[in-house]
Amino acid sequence: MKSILSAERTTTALEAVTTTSSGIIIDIAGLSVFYGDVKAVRGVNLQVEHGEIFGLLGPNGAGKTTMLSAIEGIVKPTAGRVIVLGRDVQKQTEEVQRTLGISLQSTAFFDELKLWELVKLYAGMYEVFLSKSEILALLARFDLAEKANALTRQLSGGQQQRMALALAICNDPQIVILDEPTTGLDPQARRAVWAIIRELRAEGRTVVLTTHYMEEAQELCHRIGIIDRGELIALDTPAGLIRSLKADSLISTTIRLPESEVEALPGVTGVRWEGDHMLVQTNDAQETVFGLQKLAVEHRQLLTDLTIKQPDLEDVFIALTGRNIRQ
Amino acid sequence: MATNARTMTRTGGRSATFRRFMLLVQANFLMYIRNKAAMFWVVLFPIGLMLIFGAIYGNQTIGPESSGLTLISFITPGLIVLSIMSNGLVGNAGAMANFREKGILRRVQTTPLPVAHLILSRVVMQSCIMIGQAALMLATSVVVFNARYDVAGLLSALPWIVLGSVVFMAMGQAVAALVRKEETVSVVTQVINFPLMFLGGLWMPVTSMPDWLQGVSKFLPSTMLADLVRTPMLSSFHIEPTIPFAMALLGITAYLVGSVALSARFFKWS
Repeated sequence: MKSILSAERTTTALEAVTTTSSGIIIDIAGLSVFYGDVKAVRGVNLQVEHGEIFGLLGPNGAGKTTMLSAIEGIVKPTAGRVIVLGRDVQKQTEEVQRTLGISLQSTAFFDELKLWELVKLYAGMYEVFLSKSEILALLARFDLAEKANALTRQLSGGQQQRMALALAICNDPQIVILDEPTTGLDPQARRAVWAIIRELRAEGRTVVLTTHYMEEAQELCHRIGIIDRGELIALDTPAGLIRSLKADSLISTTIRLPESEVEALPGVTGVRWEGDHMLVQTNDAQETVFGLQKLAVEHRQLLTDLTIKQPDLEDVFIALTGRNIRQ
Repeated sequence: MATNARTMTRTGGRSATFRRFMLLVQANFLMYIRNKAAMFWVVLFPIGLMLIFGAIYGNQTIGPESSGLTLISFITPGLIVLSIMSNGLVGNAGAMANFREKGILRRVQTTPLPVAHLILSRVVMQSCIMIGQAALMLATSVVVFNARYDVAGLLSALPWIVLGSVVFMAMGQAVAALVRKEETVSVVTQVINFPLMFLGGLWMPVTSMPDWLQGVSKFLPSTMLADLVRTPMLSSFHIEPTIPFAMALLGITAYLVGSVALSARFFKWS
């Protein structure tokens, strides 16, 4: 985990001043947030380390946004506390907010302002006053230079999301908090947003994001906290989470072999059919494939159309909650 | 680029707060003049009404012939009040509900900017627009219809135009705080706006209404504001206000205090 963090880390003046020796940039302890009877967040302990991309993964309504709101200082915890860069969010809200760059689920654009005017206004809210050339440089970085004089309703979904990211860093924050930055985007636009998020991190910013896309969490995040019904139910690297599952791989092939012989192969824990496809569940994919190959030769058949599906975060989620994330 | 962003000006203290406030005023001004609905209802509609009234009634006088008080001179202050109402009650309530629905208020809450500064910057900007709009309407009535006003009276009406703009914006703010959805907000403000418009003595003297309506009329903020603005503007014609000056001032202040209290108590971030 540490090795991922130290890769391509850049040190800036700001960082040197404010980074604590432990490297913990956000410290959430015993956090609970209740809205009346609704227990949105229940006793969460969580530390975000400096320079990582941290993902909160969970279904809609799991409490991800509420957790972010507690970090942002816009919701009062029922219990527990959140410390950002050594400051208590509830006590030093304004100081904390100056170090955060925010993108909420709604993009929060003023209808009648042009892109460059929006950047100027949002930076100004942090008492950061940008010149026109600084604004254009920022927009150019998000591939929006040509749209500087456009209104946000004239932008595509991907462009709007990039604009939201531009507004999130217009105050040069150390921590960037993104609530579902890629929801509703097509795969290409999603990848463009991922590239930007990786860039923000390469500049030495810490990124905290929420998502309900498994592949996004798996590809983008260094560490993932899985949230379900207001509780943090798992916390690790994507690889670590999958490893901890000790889940079986699934081999799929169209070959026709006697089921009893396949079941006897090393590693096999189950065989079933799905149409033309034989699905072989195994805890040792390597040995099982080798055995299948041998069986195929013995039966004078060709081992074709073979795929191996490794367990992924989706399986982790199902194993932990007994549910699919979109249910 | 990152270094670019890191070298940018970072100031603090009172001067930065003032600079930020002026930035807000400027941004809100741009939003305002680009908003077609606001431009229509606040600027064009009252002037259009004046032109229609003028075309129908010409230079007809009200009261005794000898007074020389034309209908246009009488209704122009009323139309200024109409503009203030559209701007404040309808416009501000709609804008705040829109900000809320788009998540802008939540987003502002995550920044160090107090939301009161955002609202105050809109009050400052729109009060300036109201002064400009009043000047435009007075000029139109003078140029097109040869209306006459008392110059010293115009200046002494100025504070009431500003006060009225603040009062009606506060009322809009209160409606936006009490009603959640943007669509409902627009219906509610229209429902309030209608009687205020027709019973407020904007284009006919309240005394021409039946007694029971006059009774209602005297409690309306539009009647109070129309009195406050019209009486000094037409001071040379010695027209009698519907409500005594002190009562009008007291009444409209009560509306202001009540609205501010309601908006503060029921303010919704999302």
